[in-house]
Amino acid sequence: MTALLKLTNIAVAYGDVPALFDVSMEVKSGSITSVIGSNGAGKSTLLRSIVGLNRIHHGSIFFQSTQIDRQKTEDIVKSGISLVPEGRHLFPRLTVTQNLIIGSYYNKNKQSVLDEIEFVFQIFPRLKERHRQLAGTLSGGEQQMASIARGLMAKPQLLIIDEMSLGLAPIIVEELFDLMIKIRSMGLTILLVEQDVTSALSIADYAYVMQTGRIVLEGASSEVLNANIVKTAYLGL
Amino acid sequence: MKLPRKFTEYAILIIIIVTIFIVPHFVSSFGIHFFIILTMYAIMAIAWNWVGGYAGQVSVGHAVYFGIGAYSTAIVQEMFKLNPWFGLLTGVLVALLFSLAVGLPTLRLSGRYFVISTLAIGEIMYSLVMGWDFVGGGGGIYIKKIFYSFRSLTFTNIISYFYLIFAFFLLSTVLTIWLENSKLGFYLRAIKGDDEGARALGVDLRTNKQIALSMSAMMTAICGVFWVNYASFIDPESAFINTISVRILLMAAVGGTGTALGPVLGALIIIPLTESSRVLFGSSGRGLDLLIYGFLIMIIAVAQPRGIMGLFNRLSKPQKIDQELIT
Amino acid sequence: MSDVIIQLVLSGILWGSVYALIASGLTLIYSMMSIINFAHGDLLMLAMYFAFTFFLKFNIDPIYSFPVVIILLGVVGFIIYKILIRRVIEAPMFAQVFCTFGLGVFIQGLAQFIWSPIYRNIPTPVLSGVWRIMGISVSKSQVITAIVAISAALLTYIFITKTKTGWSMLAVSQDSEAAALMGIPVEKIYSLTWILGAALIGLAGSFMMEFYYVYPTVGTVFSNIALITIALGGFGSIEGAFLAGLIVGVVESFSGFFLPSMLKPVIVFSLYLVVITVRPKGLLGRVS
Repeated sequence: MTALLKLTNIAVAYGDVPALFDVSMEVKSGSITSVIGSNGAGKSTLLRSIVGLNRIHHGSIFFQSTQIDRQKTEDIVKSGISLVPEGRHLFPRLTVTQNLIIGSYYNKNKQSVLDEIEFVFQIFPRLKERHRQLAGTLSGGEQQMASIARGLMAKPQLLIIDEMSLGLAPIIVEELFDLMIKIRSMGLTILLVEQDVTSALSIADYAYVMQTGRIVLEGASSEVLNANIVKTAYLGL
Repeated sequence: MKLPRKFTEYAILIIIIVTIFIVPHFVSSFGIHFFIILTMYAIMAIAWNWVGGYAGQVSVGHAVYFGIGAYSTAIVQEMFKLNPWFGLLTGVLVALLFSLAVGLPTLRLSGRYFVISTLAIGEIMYSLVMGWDFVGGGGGIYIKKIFYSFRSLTFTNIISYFYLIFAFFLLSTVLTIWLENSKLGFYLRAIKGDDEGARALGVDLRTNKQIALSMSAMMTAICGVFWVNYASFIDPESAFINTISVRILLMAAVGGTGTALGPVLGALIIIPLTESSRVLFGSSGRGLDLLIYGFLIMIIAVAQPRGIMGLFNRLSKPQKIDQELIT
Repeated sequence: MSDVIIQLVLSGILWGSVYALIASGLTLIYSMMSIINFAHGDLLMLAMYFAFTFFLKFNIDPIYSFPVVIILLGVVGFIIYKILIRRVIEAPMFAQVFCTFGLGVFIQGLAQFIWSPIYRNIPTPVLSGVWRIMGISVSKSQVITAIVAISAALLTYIFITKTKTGWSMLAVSQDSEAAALMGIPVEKIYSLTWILGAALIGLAGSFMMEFYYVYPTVGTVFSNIALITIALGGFGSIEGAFLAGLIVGVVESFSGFFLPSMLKPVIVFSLYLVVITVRPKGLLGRVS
């Protein structure tokens, strides 16, 4: 498998405060890759850098062998990366359908947008029932589904999901993780950033562990799951 | 950690105050007139800062308190022939009452609605006084000076007026330093930083904001009282017009709100700028003064959105972390 | 008496629709980027001067030159956004306030420099005279202006609520970062907002030149009314601004009839204070 996304020695700082040090990683095409780590480890900063919401000070980011670290967010999204942000960030006063249409901003073909909406409604039938509701009135789990659906509307090659399980009931989390496998089977590559270490590692092929802005461990997820550092720090074993 | 920065700030403030006190002794009477205006506006910027800077309640109609002070004292002195000191007392009291009446409905509003309220109150007062024949309407009120003495707040010597306004300048500075280091100042910063958080800690938001507003109103009114006795004339254009409000706001903004030094720095920049460009270009009627004035304000807004004090902070503490960026 | 009341309501609505149009540009910019543009009235003044200049230099009446004035104002809005607003968008609200104040002063200075402080009007506008219907007379220019204003405000509303670009604008206004993640070019949407907001003012200014006069500080009056209007309607509510514009017009018309004209502003601004005391978020403002 080739690397769809490749980060080489990137560094990010907010003002004078460094947030990422020398981070290198790869997301292989067709894989589910997971980044785990506690709050403040720099996971969100990493994702923001990939989509160009933060500028990196050092290193490079390649997507499909194109360098994207100087590109604008809109162009990065256009080239095939969708980020489902932490905390869902739906447009609360637009309807579910409107949110989805906005998700396909670059698709000027009306029919293909409608087809895509039908398609995500198949994956998330519950959204179809709620499609005329304002997004702000959905339940937490529904909002997460709508946010993922909205991310899919851009027909990305790489779907990045930040803290999918945060604040959701375990049964919904389980449902969502099952959906990840389904989405991967449709040919998408997924990068998951998670605090729910067990669930994330159970579906991922490869995993990175971050601590205070650095990658401290990487490997196949089964290896990472058994590493001492993960056992003690995240699983409490 | 915090002391050295504040120490530098207060030291610079004291140097400026001493300079402002000394220089008028060596200039012409026109120069003294300039220093009187400078000092008076500095006081109003300082007073604005109490409510706009520390409490974060941005007023774009602060001229009302200047006007109220000026008109109250003019009425008391000219219509009822009472002593100017009594006029001063009346001006301050009326401003206090007015600030209570204003604060009661408006201080519970969120930021932008409060801003528009101050604008509305400014416009209302301007129009009311314009249409109120008892106080001369658009024609204003002339004050006849009869006695010249400290007892009647009128002097033959222009430098005496300067001493008078300088005393109020000192008073307002002392009050600012007290405010910064008092419990009230702490509460106001807490309110400004996080309304809900401060409420959760049991800080009474409205009372604290009201104290700041009333203090500010009274201090601004004192300037109005002074101005009437100095200029011997007041009309709606020179008391309630919104250019005064804008100028007060700009001084605090340009210098840096929420700091002791900022408003004084702002006055030192804005007043020479407006006065000199008016003298140099204003008479041509071609608006060059406005062009320059407006242009500089935009430059400062873009380059130093936190005012000159933003620059000061950066210079004095280069290693300072910008907390807002992280969260 | 009922004739008088109808007359007052009608002329109130005529003026009110102009206020509504002016306010719609202001509220559009506010709801997109939370910037209160204190120079909004000065843009109106600029538009009026443009319309006036077309008349003075080429003898073209505003009802013919307005498309050009709209484009010119759009360009001005674009330049203001690119040079100025873009740089203060992350700044504290307070810096935005004084920045747009500075802009307003600058435009006033510019107007005084170019056109001098003299009051100007168009002596022979195409739309002159009055229509009389059942004892009620209305000025032709004001009726046409009101129709234009209401149509423009409606079109803007339809554009925002029914088109994909409009939804993108709503998306940016609700969560600009999430909008960027959808691939929406947020910068371009902001530029578009300023172009649109200024263009609406261009339209208002053009038609107002048919029956009003212009001088460098004419904008302040309308700025204040527009600010009151959008606050009265509830910040960020486009429908609210429109409704509030009509209300302000009618209230002004009645107070102008029953009270000395000097007190007209007192009633209008007091109306705001009364409403805001009862409804701290304006008439249609969201309570979040």
